[in-house]
Amino acid sequence: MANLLVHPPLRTKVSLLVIVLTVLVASIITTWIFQQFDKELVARKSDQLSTDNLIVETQIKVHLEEIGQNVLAFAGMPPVREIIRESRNPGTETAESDGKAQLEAIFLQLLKSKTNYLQARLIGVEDSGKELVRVDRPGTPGKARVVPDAELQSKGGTEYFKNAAIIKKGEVSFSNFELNRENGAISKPVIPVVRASTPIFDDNDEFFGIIIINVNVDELFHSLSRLGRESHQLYITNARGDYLFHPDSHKAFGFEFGTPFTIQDEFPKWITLGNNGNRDQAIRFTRSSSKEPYLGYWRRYNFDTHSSDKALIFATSDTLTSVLEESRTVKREAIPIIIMILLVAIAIGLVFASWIARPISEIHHAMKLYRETNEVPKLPVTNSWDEAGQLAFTFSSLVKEINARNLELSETNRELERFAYMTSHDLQEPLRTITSYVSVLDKNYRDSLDPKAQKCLEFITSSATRMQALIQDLLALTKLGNSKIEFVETPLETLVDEILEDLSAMIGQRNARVTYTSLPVLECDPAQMRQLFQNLIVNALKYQKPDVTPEITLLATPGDKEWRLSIADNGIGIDKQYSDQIFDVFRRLHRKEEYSGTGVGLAICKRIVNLHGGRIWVESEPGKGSTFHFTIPTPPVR
Amino acid sequence: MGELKKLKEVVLIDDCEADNFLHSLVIEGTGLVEKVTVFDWAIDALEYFKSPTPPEVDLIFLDINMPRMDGFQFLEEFKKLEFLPKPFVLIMLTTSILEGDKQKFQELGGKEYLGKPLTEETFLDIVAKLQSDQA
Repeated sequence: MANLLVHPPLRTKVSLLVIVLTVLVASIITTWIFQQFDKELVARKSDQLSTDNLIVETQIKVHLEEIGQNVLAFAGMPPVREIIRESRNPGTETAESDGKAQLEAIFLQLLKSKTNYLQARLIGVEDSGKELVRVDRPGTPGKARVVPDAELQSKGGTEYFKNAAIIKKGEVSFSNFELNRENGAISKPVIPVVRASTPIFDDNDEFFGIIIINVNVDELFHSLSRLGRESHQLYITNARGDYLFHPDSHKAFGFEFGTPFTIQDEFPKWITLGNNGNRDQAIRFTRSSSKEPYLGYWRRYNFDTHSSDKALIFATSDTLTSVLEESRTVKREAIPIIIMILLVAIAIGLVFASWIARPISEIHHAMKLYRETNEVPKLPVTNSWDEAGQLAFTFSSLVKEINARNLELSETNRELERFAYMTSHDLQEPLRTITSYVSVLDKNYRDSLDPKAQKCLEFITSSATRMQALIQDLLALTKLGNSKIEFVETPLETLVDEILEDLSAMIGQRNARVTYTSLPVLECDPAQMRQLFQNLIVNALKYQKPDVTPEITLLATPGDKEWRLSIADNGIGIDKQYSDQIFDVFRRLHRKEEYSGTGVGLAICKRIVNLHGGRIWVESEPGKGSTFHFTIPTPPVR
Repeated sequence: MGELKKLKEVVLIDDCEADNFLHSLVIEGTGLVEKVTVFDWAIDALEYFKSPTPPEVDLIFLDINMPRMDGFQFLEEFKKLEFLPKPFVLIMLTTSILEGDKQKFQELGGKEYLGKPLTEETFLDIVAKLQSDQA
């Protein structure tokens, strides 16, 4: 499993690549589109806010100009001129030329026709600015009435009187936007008002007084706030930033009650007073009390040219959340579609991946089959000329070549083995003749030979005997090459007992002790296994130190899918450098006079173990003894 | 080729007892050698040469393939000896003639490289060559 994670199959790799690429491309494109879309929405909202703002400014401008026009119109009216004349020449008034009565009638008419006009007055400069004519709506606001002379007050000290007194003829002065007051106290319910006034002069251009109109702007503000979109918020402040209009109505005119609410306090990151407002686009900002982002546009409008303080700030805003609402809706609708497209792309990727990987996988299976059964596999894509097809083609020719070479090799091998067998077999014939004649010589003519000739005879005898042993071992070895293994359930204990019985003379002669503990029943070739054990036991008996009692121990160890069998002795041991060579044919480490042997025994052992599909090796320490190990697979490898 | 002089001592080093016996028979048969010394083990031969009064050996016949200490190992050890027998001539005897072995042998100071078995003619040739070289 861990291996699969580190080296995933080709199909998984290609699938992963396709999925990663698809998701990457889809997310980059989607993110880009959504960003552009958001940008577009913000730009559009910026335009809307700016337009709203412009409309508000225009409306106020028109409204104030209309009031100014009215004030100017009154200043030039005949009743006003009459009043001035009467004032300059007292006692000339007649019933027909009663300017005061006429003006009162005109003012009354005005207030009746314009419900947002609260007061219209003529104030003279004399008598500390005594009101000469006054029409108002007392109450909340009530019916228009002409104020009796007894109630007329002196207004010469007021701000608006002073402002109007210093401007030129034909000009209009506006007051700041304030709450309406009656007799010095703020009238309830509160009414936001603005006053427009203009100076009037007598025939000698001497300042006579002012005409002044008070206008209720409550309705105006509310109608302006309804102009924009529903999500838009409108704020109107004076030049100091004090709210004159606020969606939260109790924040408007807070300064009149000693609790000022200013726009720069509420939106410190938006509006900078003294600056003319941004004329291009809406900006992003947050409220002082929360992190919610806003988009807003504001501008400053100076409504009285005589004083830069007489300005209004119009600010329109919207929350970014509401600006991007449309974008969110689109995203909500787009995400399932994007996921669908991704799934389709991934599905196509998977199909594509298996399409790429299939031929390679098929080649793999074919080669596996070839390894297991040695049959020439049918490679499925030999006619296609992509990389997989070329691979299959190469494999196919490789397999054919290997098979041809294998056939050739096994033929040569068989011939060599036959040759070796025949040779060793045919060598026995003349050898037998030699030994026969030598034994005749030895028996019948020994006494007539001198000692040197006798020694020669001895050498001939021993060499001939050795050659016989050599040929027999070689025959055994070549026979192994020709033989097929006959797997039979073989109880090793019985087998070893028989061998020990056969070797009893040798064991007895050397006074050796051979022991074993519970040997298994193995599926193997009994004849070969017998030879294997016999060779190893004989070697263990043979290569002994003089004056030491040979101790030989047989041991069987079960392993994973195999048995390990070990034969340990306390003999002369083998130097580590020879531990591989000793299994080669004719490899001897000792003079034959010291230890007899042909140099074939261990080669036979190795051949037998290999034929059974096992391994053979030796562990040894010179002077202390050797342990020969070999393994036999279970179940057997056929 | 004039009259051959008699050699004092010839040493045979071979692990095969039969070969040693045969070779000593052949050498003695020529009547040209006073003493033939035979060693089955190269290490024993080395000890023989190490003696404080080294023998006056004329010829050494050495086998290559021997257990424990082979012919080449013997040669290397032999050359390290403090008192080398003078004059000494090394002849290698082997069952298998290999070019690589021959070259190695000559590099180590060997004289002749011959195949087994040693015959009377070969031995006489060697002695003749040896004495003509010395003359």
